[in-house]
Amino acid sequence: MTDPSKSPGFSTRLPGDRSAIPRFEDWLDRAAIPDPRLRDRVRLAGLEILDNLIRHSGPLEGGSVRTSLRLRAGGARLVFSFRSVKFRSFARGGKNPRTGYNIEDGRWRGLGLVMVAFLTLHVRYVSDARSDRVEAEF
Amino acid sequence: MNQLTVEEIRETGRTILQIAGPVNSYTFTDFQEKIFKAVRRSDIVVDMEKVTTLSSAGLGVLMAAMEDAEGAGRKIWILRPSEIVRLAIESTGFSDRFPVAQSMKDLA
Repeated sequence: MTDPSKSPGFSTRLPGDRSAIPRFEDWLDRAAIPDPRLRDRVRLAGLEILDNLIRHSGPLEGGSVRTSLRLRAGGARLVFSFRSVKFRSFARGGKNPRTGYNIEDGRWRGLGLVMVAFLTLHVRYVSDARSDRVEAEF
Repeated sequence: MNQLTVEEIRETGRTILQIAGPVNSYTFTDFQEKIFKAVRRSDIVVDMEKVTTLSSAGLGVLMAAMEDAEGAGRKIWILRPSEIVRLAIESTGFSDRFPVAQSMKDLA
């Protein structure tokens, strides 16, 4: 695992299961993101994206997610790279899930997508010969 | 801190839930259980000063509890939300649905 505070481009490989969540947080804690507001945006959006990958795109081929963070003036770029058959069909034209309050089960659906859209400048869902990935710009 | 702790303090007419740690899809069940039980018997104050992250799963629990509270004629307040909790709430676009107080004195 690369220590984010000691490298201009920070990366790590996370497991493709729920244990990735606290590991991602620990890794991000070491990132030298100077602006606390930006740091919180990256944390909240990153956790939503990673959680969705694990819960909805699994099992991930190879069982892991490569995660990288690059800081630039006033912003950041967070990329999750992996291989997933389920994600591939979504990225290549799948529809976004519907968001809103489901009155039948009394739960909110798609709230994470709403949050990610607010917290990022933009998000790209990519599937190509290189990898499947989610690229988030802040 | 990767563990979520939920301390419950019962007072006359209201329940205080002191939450500390990350509220995400893997930790929220204890919080969910306690807030849904509490909303059946009293108003609720959710102290979120020590919450380190708040995911959509945790926000979904809060929003569903607020729906239940409204139906039961009760109130839920968010007390002393940390900066990241404020940002998480703002990011949903439903900030006006979350009554926030900075101290117990502010609770109407």
